[in-house]
Amino acid sequence: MKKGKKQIGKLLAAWILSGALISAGPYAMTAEAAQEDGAAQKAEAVQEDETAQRNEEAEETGQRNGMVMKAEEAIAMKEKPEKSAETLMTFEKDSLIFVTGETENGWYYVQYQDMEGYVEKSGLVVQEIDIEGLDAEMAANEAETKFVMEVVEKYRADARRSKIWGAVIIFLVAGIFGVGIFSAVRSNKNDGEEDGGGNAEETRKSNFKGKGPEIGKKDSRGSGKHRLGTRKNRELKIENLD
Amino acid sequence: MSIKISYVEISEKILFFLLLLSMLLTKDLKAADFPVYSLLLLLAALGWAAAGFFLNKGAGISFLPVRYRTDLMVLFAIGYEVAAMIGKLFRDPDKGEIDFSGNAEALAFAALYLLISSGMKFRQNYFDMILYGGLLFETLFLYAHVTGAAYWKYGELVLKDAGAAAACFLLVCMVGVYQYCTCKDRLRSLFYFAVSAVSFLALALNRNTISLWLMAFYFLAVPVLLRPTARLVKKDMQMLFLFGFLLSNMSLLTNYTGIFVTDIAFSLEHSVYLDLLLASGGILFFHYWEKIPEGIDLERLVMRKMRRTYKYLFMVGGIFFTGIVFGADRWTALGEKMPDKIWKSFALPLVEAVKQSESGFYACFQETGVIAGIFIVMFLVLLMSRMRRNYGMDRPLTGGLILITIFFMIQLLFYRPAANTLTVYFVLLLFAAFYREEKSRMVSIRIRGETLRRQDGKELEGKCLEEKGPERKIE
Repeated sequence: MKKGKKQIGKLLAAWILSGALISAGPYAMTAEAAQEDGAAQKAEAVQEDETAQRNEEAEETGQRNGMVMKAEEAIAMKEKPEKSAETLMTFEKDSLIFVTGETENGWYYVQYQDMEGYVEKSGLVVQEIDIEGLDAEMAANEAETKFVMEVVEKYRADARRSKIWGAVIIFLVAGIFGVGIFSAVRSNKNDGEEDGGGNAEETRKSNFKGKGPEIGKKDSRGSGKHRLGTRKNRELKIENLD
Repeated sequence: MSIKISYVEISEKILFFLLLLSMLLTKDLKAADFPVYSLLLLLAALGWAAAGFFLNKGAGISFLPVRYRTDLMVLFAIGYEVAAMIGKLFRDPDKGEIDFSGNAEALAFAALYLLISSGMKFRQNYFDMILYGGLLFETLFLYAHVTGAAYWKYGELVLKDAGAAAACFLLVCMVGVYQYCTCKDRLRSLFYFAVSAVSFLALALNRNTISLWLMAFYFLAVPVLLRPTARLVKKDMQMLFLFGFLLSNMSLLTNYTGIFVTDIAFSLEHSVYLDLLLASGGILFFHYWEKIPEGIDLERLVMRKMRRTYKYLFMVGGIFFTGIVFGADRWTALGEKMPDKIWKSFALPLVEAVKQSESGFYACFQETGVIAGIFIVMFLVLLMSRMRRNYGMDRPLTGGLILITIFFMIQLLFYRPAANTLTVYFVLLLFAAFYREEKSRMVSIRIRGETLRRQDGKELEGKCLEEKGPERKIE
């Protein structure tokens, strides 16, 4: 009995052990794969971080650090730094490609328009570029663009100012016309009223306005013809000035 | 009687139309190669003559009276022009195109002469028509300068050269100043003031130095030819100051502000000299003006002594002007001292302007021939003698017309006006010679020695106080 129990115990232990081993195996494989995946994911994450960081830097500075290289032959730009990765586009021979980084496994990180990808190092050679000349040309282009922008802005400002002054002139002249027409109508109306009513005597009286000369007895120097006198005498002695 | 009234109305309306047409039709329009302006002018004049002939026939007035020597000359001119037109019709067509526009304008002028000299009344509204039309044209001119828009083609008849444009702007300036000086209504005076300001700006922008000098002389001539009441002198000086102020600030407007888009520049040096001249003139004027006692009606105070001063300044200025013109390029040989430089800065631009402009008299001789040119000059001289007889200090409207006409004659020596401006000037010339204005009678109380007793017993010299009495017609 004891021997049977021992055997059953051994069998059970073996069964348990084998079960554990069997279940652990795939688990271990999955873990490895998971580890591998995790590592790959980490690498990708690192790359993405780097890319994101680079993009952020590029957005902040407006510049991307890199160099221009030439394709010796037609070469494909891959989504990942692997030959089996998806091809995003193919560069023709002698194309200039902007390289912003490189990986450890022999691939360059490149950018083209809005796309980013990887290109094999072996397919690219360094393009000899006159950096100073390019810088100078860029500076000249920037200066010219700035000048053109200033001139355009100046023309726009002049056109705006001209329109404003033109409107001011038209408004003022319209006002002058309005005043002229209104005053003409008003003076015609007043003339009509004066012709229609009014006393001739009143009109005559109203002609004598303001201060007159001193009428008095003090003037002893005047001749008889020009003597100051009463109003009646003044009316009789009418003289033409000229 | 009713026929006479309707003829008068028609005459006034046609004259309004003519004046507005002359001031507004500044584009060189042609219908079948015939200038539209000449055609309309001829039609208006002939229509007016036809109205006068048919409507006045029953009233027993002969249509073509020969009253003056100039009537004979005009009738002769009509016959000549008609014969010339008939002769052109039979001309060899290989000699080129036949142009009747000159003949049409001559006939129109002759018709205008006969109609206006037959006793037509001048109304002050005619001056207003000139101002309204001129203001529109000047607005276009200023708008073109401010916006750079190509409105020149609308004024090509007048703007073809600076001289023709100057004649047009000068006409509006002179009429505006006269109306402002003689207007009694405050609101209306404001209108005349504004129109004059716009006209001065246009005259300055035109940059014809001769016209600027003539305008300055015009201000001196106003108190000489018109009755120099204190009110008139005051208003005249206000206009002179406005003109001088605007002219002296043109350098600021053109060089330092971006108001004018066109390429115009005025000398800052001239502005400074002009400001000094205005300041010194102002000091002298106000020194004399303060002698006028307070409370006196300026309309009744006649400034005879000031008139003599203006006459003297006008003569001195005229001699300077003539001397500069005759001196021509010899003025460049003056030294480099300060007074020499100031003199040269005013003289040389005037000499340059005279050299570049074509005289109206020369143009007349060139287009009509020497004999016709002499004929025209004799006609103008006869008209001027009529004007001289028509002139009177107690005829303010006639005085204004004569003033404008005299400056028109002076302008003809330096540049030729455009056809439409010439028509307006000619109409004013005819009214100046033939308009019989009712005299405004004045009751004068001339105190011996031209002194005035004030209430406190002190005497003031140089003034003669007049009272305006009842107006009486001369029989």
